Amino acid sequence: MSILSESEFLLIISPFKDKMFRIARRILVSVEEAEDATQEVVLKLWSNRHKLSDYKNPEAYAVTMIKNWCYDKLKSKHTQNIKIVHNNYEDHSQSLQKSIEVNDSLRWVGFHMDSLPATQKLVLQLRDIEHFEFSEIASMLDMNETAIRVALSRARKIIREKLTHTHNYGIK
Amino acid sequence: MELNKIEDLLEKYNEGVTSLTEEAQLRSYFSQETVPPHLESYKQLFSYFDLDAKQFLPTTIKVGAKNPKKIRWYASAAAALVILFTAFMSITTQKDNLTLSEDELYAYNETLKAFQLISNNMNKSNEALNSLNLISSSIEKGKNKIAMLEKFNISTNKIFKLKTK
Repeated sequence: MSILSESEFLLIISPFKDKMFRIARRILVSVEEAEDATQEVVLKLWSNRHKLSDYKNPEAYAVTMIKNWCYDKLKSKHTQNIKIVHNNYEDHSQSLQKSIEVNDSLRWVGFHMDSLPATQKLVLQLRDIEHFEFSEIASMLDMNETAIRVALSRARKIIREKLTHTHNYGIK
Repeated sequence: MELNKIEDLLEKYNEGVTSLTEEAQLRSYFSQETVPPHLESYKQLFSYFDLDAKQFLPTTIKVGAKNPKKIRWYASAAAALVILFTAFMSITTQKDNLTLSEDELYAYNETLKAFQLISNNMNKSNEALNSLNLISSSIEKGKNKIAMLEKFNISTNKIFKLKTK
């Protein structure tokens, strides 16, 4: 079997490198850390490129990898208490600044989505933003499809409930 | 699409049972400018999803070159190595100084003596320079006195001229 060249490899990953970045940013919140995560995981994929063409769905494989990488990153952050406090502070100001440019009401959606439990947040990202099939999400997160649907339904309902609350807040 | 069909789809959507195609229909419906007021929160939701899906990786991916973060790490490691090396060298050379042989000690003391001699002579010549300074200031005083004499001279000349007239 022939080993992929650099350009062939980049051609394979280019359709989903942005998805990887968005998923990383959803988990890690910080844009910079998400960039680093994407770069690191792409390098991992590159060093395992002989395997990449074996996978039926390299995209789903890449998403699984970046998800695991980001969760590991979060775990290692929890062990470094001082660092996580500092990063949290930075991240919030950054995401806030970024979204102020955007419509104010959309900012709330992002805020509510970020405050969802980890699994619900990720399922919502994978389905409603990245448009993956339930079977794909199930294999990425190592969960069954029913559990995925339940998490998704909860996430969608919670966000809308919070949105109607914030929407009515000024009126009532 | 009629409103009641959208509402049916939204109900399915909330239960997590819509297909990707149905969700695409919902997205396209909510991408229009105005929706009925009771569906406003759905519009917010779907607009946010559309917006987020347009966020792209800001940096370009490189696989041939080494990760810049790793390069930075190597650079700091190299810098630390250089510092350790210089520290090591300075410590070892200091140890050499402490263990001088007799000849070296003698040479060292002789050099010190020579330096002291030079420094003493320097001080002496400095004193000589001081006396020169003293002379220079006396000369300055003398100059002033001469200037006064000259003034006196001019005045006497004037008197003489007056007298001859």
